[in-house]
Amino acid sequence: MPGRLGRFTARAWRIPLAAGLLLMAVAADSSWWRSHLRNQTVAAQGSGHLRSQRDGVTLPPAPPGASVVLPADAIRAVDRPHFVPAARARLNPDTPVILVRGQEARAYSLPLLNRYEIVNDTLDGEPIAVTW
Amino acid sequence: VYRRRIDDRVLTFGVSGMLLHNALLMFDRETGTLWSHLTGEAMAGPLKGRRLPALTSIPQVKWRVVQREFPAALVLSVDGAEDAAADSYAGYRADPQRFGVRPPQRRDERLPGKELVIGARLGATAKAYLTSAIGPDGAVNDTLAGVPVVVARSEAAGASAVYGRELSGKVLEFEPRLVGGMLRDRTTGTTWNLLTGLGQGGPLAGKRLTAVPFVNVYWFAWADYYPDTEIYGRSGVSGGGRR
Repeated sequence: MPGRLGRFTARAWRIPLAAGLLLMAVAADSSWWRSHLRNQTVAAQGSGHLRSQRDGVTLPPAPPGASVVLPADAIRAVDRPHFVPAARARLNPDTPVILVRGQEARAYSLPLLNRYEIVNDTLDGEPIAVTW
Repeated sequence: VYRRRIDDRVLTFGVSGMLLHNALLMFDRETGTLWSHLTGEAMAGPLKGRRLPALTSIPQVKWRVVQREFPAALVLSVDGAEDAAADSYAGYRADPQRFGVRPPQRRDERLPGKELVIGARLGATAKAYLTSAIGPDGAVNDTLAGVPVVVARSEAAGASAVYGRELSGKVLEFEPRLVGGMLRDRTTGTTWNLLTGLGQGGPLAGKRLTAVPFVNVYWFAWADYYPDTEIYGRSGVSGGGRR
């Protein structure tokens, strides 16, 4: 953790850094990611620490080989998933889904998961994460 | 798909915005640990080195197949939508020269980067099965970390599967072609559901094959995570071969 001064100094390049991250990500795939940037900001705390603005959890610096392309929580994981019966689901027959089976079968549309990446779910009483 | 309980602690995952080898790093809100969504391994933070237990799932299977085989299935719905129209990755998938957001630092030239593989790992052994070697409607018998496995896919269904093929001490040999979208072992003549591993006709009907977790992935990403990976199906040759 940086000292107070470090953190203050960090603030000065927070905006250029955020802008840089935005540019990189936009360059990566603008159409994909424009829709994700709702009310999200990035907080840099010296030495690459990132903090989710949503709940204040501080993330470690990117491990070796990793790169930061978006602010934490810029893509909003699904925490309280809602399900509809297959008969009422409006899905294209050709849409690829992730199929998970417990006592019941669950389907997660991949085009939908492209927007959320992670679903924090529960299957047969056991907490699971569906990721894409 | 992973269990998200570690030592009786339930974790809630978010998207960190970091990529490792072009795959999403998740973070958990409880400890701030960073986890690879491709391997389930904690890469940095308090739980570094731990691994989330993988749950078997069938990725990329077409809805029409799930709807037919699992009419009681429940479907994720977010903000009133179960599907999304735009496939913003279509251009990316079609381009053989684009390797993720950040091109890998080391490229494993054993295969073209955008070759689609089924990646499976048991113990310390990782293996990439070329989908082209399995065929659009086929199955291959192999051994992964000493465990006899069958790796199969149906392009029409969009479904892939990896199962252990040893049952009650007997090793099953599978036919190289699916029969009506089903696996069939020529050892006993039993047909097996590709999606569930359940024996559906023949002497072993009602028995179930043990599912092995796997991912459908581009070669460049798999090789980046598992540089020592073995390859099945290169030039029609089975087995490994290191760089």
